[in-house]
Amino acid sequence: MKRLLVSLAAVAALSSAAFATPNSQTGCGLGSVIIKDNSSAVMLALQATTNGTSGNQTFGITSGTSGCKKTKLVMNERAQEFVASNMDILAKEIAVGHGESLDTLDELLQVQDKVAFNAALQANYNKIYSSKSVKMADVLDNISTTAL
Amino acid sequence: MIKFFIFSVFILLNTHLLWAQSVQNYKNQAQQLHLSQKHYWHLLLHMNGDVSEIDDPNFFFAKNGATDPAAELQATLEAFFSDEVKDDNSSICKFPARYFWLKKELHATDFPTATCKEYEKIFQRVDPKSATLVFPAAHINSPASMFGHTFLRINSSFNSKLLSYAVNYAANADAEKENGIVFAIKGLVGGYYGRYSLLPYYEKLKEYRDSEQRDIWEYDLNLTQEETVAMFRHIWELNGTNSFYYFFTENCSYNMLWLLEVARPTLQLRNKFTYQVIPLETVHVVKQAGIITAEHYRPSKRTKLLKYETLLDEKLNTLPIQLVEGKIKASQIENNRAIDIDQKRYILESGVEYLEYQYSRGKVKKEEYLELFHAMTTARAKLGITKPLEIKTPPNPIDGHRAFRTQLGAGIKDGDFVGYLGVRPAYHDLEDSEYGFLRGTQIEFLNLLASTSKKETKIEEATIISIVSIAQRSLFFKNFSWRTKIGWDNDYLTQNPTFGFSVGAGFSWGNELGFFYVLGDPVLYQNSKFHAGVGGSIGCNVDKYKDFNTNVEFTQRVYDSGETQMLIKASQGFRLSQNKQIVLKYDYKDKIAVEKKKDEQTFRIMLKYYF
Repeated sequence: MKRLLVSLAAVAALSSAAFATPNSQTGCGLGSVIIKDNSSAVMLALQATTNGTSGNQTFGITSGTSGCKKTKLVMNERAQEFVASNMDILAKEIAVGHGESLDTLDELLQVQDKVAFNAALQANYNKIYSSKSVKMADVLDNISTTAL
Repeated sequence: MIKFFIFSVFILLNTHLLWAQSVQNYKNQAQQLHLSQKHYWHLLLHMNGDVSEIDDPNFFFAKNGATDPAAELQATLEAFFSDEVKDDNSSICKFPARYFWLKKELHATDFPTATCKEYEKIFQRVDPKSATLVFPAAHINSPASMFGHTFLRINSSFNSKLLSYAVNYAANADAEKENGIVFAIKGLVGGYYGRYSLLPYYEKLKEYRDSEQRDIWEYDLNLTQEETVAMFRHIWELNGTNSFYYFFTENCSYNMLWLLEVARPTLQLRNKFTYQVIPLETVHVVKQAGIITAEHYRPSKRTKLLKYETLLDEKLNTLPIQLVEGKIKASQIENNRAIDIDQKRYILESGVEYLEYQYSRGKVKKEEYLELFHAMTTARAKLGITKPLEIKTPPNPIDGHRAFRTQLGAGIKDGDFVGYLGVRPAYHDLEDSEYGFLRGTQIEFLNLLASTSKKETKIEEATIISIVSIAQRSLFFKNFSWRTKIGWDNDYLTQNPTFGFSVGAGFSWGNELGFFYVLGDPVLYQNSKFHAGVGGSIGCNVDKYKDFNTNVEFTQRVYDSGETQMLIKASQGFRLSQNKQIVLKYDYKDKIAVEKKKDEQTFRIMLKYYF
């Protein structure tokens, strides 16, 4: 009862409108981000009552590479998964030569000399992210051939 | 052959009998040891007094398991011994925490076993070593997000925290299928099931830091590896269970506390909360328990862009936006000899951040995004390696004032001495010290203030709910500001408090010294009749120095009766400590008494105490 009273009081302040929804885009290339087309601040306020889930609430550790083209060269599963889900941020960090996602990639690939490796990646950026439609497999294969 | 057959049946029956004897022995032993009354068993069942908070029959083996821990324990033992399957679908694999604990408490050596391939696979993947409590802070233009959110990160052997897994509790709601109002109401009254999820930390960062523009605060906990593993076993048990999600009480943060208590049963965190569980308050409680070892800050994309605004040269600062709008090309920046290399880097870097920001809001189409992203990053890659952006860590939300406020004050109103007494369960307003809070945001719930003087004792304010979001416009951010309020206040023309509702919108600009704003608020009051009006407000707030807080606001209103009204509010706050503040206030209100215009002026000093 207490909960209901408290809830009703909060509800008194809400107004209605069509709910703008987040739509998630999955993929192995660039541009796979959650798009939140929130047209009004009130909608953002309403969203906070449930910590809106983007529908992808699973418990199983599904491989993030299930729909992706596999790398030509041998590459560990975890590295492929990481790159597939972090294509944009890795591109940004390789382009500037530093960053946490880049450090994570270094750790997954068991790179010995990170400084030299990251410098080599930046110098070869346009061979690694060779086009706008590059995919995870391409990026990792390119890294293997140019820097590893 | 027949002998063999009879022999096999004999062995089978005996094993069954032995099994049956064995489980009965354990059941008796459990009863004698009063195991079902033990605190840990109640934690595993999420017992709150006499009832479990888990609303899913699949979580219990006994029919009345949710209300009878003894029956549940007996039924659990039965289930372990009578499993027909010995794989991940067995009771043993589904309830590893209960299995582990019962085996230990009963000093059992002949418990049945099972092969839990799925569990083992995920256990190895998650690799639980220690835990961190994560708090995504407020999002500008969403004051309700000021309440924040918490989830746990299970740290692994990897150095990189990005590879850790986060365990999160949220309402299992498909926003696309629901109307906005229904969605909000259901979240408040338990209309949705809450579910636990386990996903890579980098996915949570993409959601909160990048897409939602929220700064992230991490609090490392001193849980041992054994405790973290125990917590993981219990998280596995919660996989797929349904419990009703209640925004105010059994919400995301509250359920994280269960996990921490299961990890270390001596912790008493949940009992600190009675009628509301505010996420940041759970972080305070965890800190008070003394289990936080370190604090870390991750700036949001918005914070990074605001930093670039201070680094970009004034003459060049429109270039990142022009890049994103396609008005100039990245190669033009790269080849322009007139631009300093440092500036070129800032232009391209902030351009990419701004591009991602616009794309995540749906302002840029994917094809355009890919084109521009590729061009800008390629150009930047030719400009060498730099040091990371230095972003100063802002005040930690955990050092901000607590949620519940009381205030005591004294003042003079039109020559009379007045005493004040106030209480507010949640949460923060523009006159409270901003330390640890997001600038320009306010969210109040049941703000009550009463005054007493020789003449009368009256209610000054009884706000049911008020929300303010004053977001400063800047180079990259063109937010608008808004506010709303419903409840009784003394800002109407009459002497007595009147019930009213207002909603306003406008703009704000600021710098590191403070900010000012311009808002227009239609207002509707109701006493015996309805009275409509419109107000225009100009205000400013100086907040540069952490212990001082200055607010001034001028409002001019005109009502449907033709009456005009001026209101002035001014306050100067002094932060004495995390949870104590003194505020000097001046209020000017035009009132109408006996058909004549009369102004009411109040000077007061208030002591605010938070806990």
